[in-house]
Amino acid sequence: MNQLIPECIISATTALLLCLMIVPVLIRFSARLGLMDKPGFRKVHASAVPVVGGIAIVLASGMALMLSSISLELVKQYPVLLGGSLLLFIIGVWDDRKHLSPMYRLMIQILCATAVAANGIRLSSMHGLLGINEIPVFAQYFLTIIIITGVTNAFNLIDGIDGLAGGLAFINLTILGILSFMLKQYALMVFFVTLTGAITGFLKNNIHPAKIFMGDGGSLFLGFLMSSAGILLIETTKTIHTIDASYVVLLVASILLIPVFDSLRVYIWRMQRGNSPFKADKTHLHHLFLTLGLNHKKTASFIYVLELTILIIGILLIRWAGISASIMIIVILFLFISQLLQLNYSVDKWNKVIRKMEKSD
Amino acid sequence: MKTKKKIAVIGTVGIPAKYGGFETLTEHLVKQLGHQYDITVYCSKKKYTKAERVKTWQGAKLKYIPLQANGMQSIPYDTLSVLHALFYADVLLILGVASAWMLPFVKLFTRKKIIISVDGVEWKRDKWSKPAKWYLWWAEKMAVKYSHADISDNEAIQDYTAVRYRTLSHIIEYGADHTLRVKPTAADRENYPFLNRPYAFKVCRIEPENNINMVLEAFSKMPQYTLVMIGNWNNSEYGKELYSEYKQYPNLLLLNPIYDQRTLDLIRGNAYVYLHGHSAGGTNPSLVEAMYLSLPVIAYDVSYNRATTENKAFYFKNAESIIQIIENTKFAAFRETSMQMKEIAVRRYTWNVVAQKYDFLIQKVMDAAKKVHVRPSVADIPAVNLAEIGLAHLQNPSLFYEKR
Repeated sequence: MNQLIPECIISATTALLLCLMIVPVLIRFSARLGLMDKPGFRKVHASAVPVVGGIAIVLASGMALMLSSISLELVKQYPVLLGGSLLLFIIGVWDDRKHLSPMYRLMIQILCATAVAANGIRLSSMHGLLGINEIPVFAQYFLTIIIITGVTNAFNLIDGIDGLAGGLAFINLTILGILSFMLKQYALMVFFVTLTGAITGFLKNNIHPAKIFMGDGGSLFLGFLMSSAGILLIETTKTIHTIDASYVVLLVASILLIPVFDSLRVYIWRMQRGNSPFKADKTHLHHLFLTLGLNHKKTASFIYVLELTILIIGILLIRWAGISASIMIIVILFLFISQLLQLNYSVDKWNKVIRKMEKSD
Repeated sequence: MKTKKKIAVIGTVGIPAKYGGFETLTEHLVKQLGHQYDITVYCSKKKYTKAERVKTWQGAKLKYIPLQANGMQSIPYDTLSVLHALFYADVLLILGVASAWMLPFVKLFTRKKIIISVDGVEWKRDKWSKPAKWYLWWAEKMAVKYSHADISDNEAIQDYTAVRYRTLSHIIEYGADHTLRVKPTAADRENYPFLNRPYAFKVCRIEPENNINMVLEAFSKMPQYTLVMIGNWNNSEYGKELYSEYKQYPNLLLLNPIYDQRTLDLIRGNAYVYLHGHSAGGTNPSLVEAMYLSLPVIAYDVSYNRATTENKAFYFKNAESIIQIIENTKFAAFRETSMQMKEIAVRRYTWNVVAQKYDFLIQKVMDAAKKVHVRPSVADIPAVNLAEIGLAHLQNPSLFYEKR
């Protein structure tokens, strides 16, 4: 216990330094490895950028952990969680190299999520959310798989502008680290803190204008890890009662809320306009902020602040409003803000239509 | 005797008109339709002094609302007017979309007929802040969706509402026959010496969307031609800057606003050409007035101005094209255009024509017709059934706005 703080600091610093060292090497070999992202319709960058962020994060934190004493314990305690994350990391990198069929990717995600659920990391209770507590086993599997694949994909989609996914992952892993500490999951805590170290190194190379991207390898890995770990921590409250389960549910929900509800909003909006929900366009949260006239840095910062605001409001509310109402309120708050941004986007779009009509003759 | 239908006119500053287009329109509607309908007009208490606040004007009842009719306050102003009108009116004639947020409720819970003029794509104009644009954009949608008939003041706006909402808007423009043809007297010539020689003329609010800088730049490069321009130069930083930049040119006469109808008509009616730089707002009253005064029009090249002048005026895109037109057009060609402008104005832009159109629309909504969809109803037949009888092409008719 008294070695925990130095352990964390050493491990995180090592991961940070390793990441900073690995990135230039990876950049040099990125073209030969086929890991370059070329500009396209949906992309907001102008020239080809190496997609090696995910590899750098995983290598740096992996190596840093191997140097520490907790690595063995970590692998022993969470083999499926780590294995699933790594498998998705490999699939993601593969997808970055050559395009993978979305169906195939989804199958593997569901497979990994099922493995995690079978390993015992599954929501066995709603912890009072919507007044529901214990749930039957098939519902446990169903919910867990939906949440993990949903968050993994949503986090993959939010990775659209410089610094955004990395910054959100940093905030989320910090929160998960704090929760792990409070729930006495020290190995997990060191793991998350180490990851934040590696992500800091990544962010240094990813803030606008980005030298590298995280890629699907990074975002699938982080999305899967964060959602599975979130569920794991929620379940831990059954045996360890240091904090109330509803707080853990609230915090986990708050950190995953933005990617998840933004994806849902985008799907619904596309369907309202008669398109397929999966037809790519420029209507994600960060695109809406860019339409507002903000630059990349400001957009990313606004979304960090939005996430922190949601988090704080949730914590302030839960005492007297209860878990269901608190989550409802932060969801409504987020939807309200995104609706305003969506309105602005529509006005902007129609402005272009009408300017074209005015000049048509 | 049949009782007269009660009409409430909502969304203007009030009558007698002191301000812009909607107020003049209301004044003429009262004059022309007052004998057929029982008209009530909502006026802003803020713009009429106590002595001016009469109970009736030319047979119309006037109600005063203690709010400003424009800007942010137009939302509560129009809303209160609508609420008051719900107690008695048969038809709500709403000019502008500020109160449109409540129209879904009015349409759902009452049997009032709603006619709304959507004005000239207000949400697009640069003078509004972002939240104002958001509201206006959304309010326009509510206005079109939840009214019984909507009015555009220009063909190009009818095209836009057809594209955005798939419904057919009614075009009703403005009248101009209240303008006067003034022959300059000896005293006038003394007061305004420029009347003795040909001059170009422009009148507008000094705002960027009216392309004032383009006109001034063009004439500053043509010292041999005089330009007389009336506007509120001291109203904004933008106006003051332009004024100080261009006042040094002897051929540019920049005058302050003139509120006397005779003087204004004296100056514009005797101009050699009229320059119209407005780029927004559908059919502009100042343009139809210039046309009614038989002035050859040189207008900024946007769809609204082309529609107003039926493509028969001169159009400019920049300062160079103004110079081009002024220097290369013969007197006879300007004369020809002025006749065409007058012909259009007499045919379309008289208050009698405008009032008749409003009368027709009021009677139409009283008959509880549904809104006209721009797609023919035959297109609602499933594609398979149409294909069976070889008429599948009716699913995708080409619409009027594609051909203009």
